[in-house]
Amino acid sequence: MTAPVLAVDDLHVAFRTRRGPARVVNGLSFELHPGRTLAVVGESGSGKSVSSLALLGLLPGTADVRGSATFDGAELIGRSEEELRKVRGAGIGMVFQDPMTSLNPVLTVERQIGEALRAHEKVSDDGVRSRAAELLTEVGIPDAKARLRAYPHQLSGGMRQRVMIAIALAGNPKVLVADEATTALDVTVQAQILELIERLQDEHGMGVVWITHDLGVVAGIADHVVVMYAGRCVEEGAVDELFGRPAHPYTRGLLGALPVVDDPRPARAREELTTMPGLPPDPVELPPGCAFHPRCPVRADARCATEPPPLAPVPGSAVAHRAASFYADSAAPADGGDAR
Amino acid sequence: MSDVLVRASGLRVHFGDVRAVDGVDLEIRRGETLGLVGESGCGKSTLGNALLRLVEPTDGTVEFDGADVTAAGRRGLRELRRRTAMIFQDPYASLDPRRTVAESIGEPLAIHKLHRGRAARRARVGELMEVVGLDPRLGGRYPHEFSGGQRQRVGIARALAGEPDFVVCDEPIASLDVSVQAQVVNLLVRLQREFGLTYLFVSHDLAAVRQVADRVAVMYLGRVVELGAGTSVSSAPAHPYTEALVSAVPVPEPERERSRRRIVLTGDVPSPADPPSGCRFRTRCPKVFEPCPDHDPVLQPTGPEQAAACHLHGVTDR
Repeated sequence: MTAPVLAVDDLHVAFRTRRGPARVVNGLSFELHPGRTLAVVGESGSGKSVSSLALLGLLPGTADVRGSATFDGAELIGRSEEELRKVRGAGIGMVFQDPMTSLNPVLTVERQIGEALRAHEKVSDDGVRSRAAELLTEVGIPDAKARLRAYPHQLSGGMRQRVMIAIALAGNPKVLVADEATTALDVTVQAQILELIERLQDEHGMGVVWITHDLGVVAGIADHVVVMYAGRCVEEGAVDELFGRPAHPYTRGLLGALPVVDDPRPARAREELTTMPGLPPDPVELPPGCAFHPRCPVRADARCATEPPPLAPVPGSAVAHRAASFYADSAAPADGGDAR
Repeated sequence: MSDVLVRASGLRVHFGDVRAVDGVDLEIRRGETLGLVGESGCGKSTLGNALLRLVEPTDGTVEFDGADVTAAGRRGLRELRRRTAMIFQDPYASLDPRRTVAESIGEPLAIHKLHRGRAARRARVGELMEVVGLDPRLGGRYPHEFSGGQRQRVGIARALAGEPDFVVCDEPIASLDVSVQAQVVNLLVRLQREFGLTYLFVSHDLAAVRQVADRVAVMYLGRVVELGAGTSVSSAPAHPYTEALVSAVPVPEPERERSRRRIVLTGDVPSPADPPSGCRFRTRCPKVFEPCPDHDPVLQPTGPEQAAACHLHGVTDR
């Protein structure tokens, strides 16, 4: 196997708060290989976005970041702002959830793509214009030359996200980090953006880190999946393995909580969706032991409450598949939910 | 007693040039859940508001339990307000931050003069909190002290306070996490069965709609383009827009999701201030043909319990 283009090892992020440190990321590790798609899945507060911001040095000064993240073998954590700026864009492009807040409302599309282009190389005004138009065409914006003069508010949500992707592509990145990049979009627009990113990935061989709460999207695009809970990876594996034989009680709960659009049964003939009682823990007061144990439907015994379960291979799995639970069991029948 | 509880006929709601709802005929049957799906700006929330007369229709009528609410006077409106309720997307924005949740839940009781007397009202509020799965002892707390899911339960308790017959749920789970969404969906279904409620479940999430709705109406650019049993709308869509919508909703099963054929629509939704002539979907429709630009299709039967506004099932004109 090739060397990973991005490797995160034992990443920790804590924010200093008046109530004490909020431990948002607690020992996260993953590897992304060129041309592959890694999905990082979790609910609000699971630490999925903070970890990607940490490796790009985009967190505020109240954040303490420990651990390692290497891009093409070079360490990112602890690098100066200037060094990181070179990596961002040229090495790693980012697309965020809400293009309206990430784009500058008073600058034209051309200026904003131009800024990204000039950050990486010396280019003339004419060069910027033609390259920017090329990028817009590449992300599927029709009539690119005219659109260069548009301001963000003159574009639809889907178009704005395409502009964000064009900016992310300006430096020919080896890695694209998409943080809830389709969450604010309608499903038919999401389908357009997913198709676009898949095409760009094929053409440029980029590795993609796809951060999302949407397991349906993950099922369609990911090669490998990391499920996060309370700042830790609680389960990871190849996409078919993880969805087909989920082992961690949290992953099983998440999958059971999802309705399936083409389930043939009428609403009244369906079982209730699987629910997990309670809420994710407060990062200032993480429970000892397994952070999921207070909500765990499978088992919560003395060991769960005292000893954090290590991320260990799931028994009986032929492919790479690990879970952090003393009661990881991919063979147990799926708890409730739909025909799965 | 007619089995139709709510009926909209020729309903239009225009905001200046914007034709948010532009000629909708719809019936909601007693005790059913009608799902209303569509994407941003299709007019689904405006339609829900118009059915409760929270916005004034520009044209057409809404009947509630046989009475024309578009013509209702003060008294008729008061009756409508008690018998109907709304659950909003963002319970944080719809609850008064300066009132305790018990005060918010009890407000409809005061307005409609139900359960009079402090003790009776307090008991009723406690009962409502229990019904939605909240500890009544938390009644003295303020909305910011609750999680998103708990706040949505407060919003549901408040909606149920007047013992309504008809509840419009407007994107009730859109701002919640997946595991909390499931809790709220299950709760809404349970409450419906327990109290015989009739729901209009407005959502952009077709999978969630399918989980709760007996019938589904699909909206595009101010019109209902397909209406039918939930099972037929998602497994055998009769309108090309519904087909694209269903195909775009990802299913959480990798092997199946990778092999599903996604119908990717080109372009953006046209402006509701200037909808295309003829069929409004024709500018993006993969199956567009000769009659589409000149004839504005009506909703016509395409099978048992299913209707679509599409010329593929025979050319019609409004």
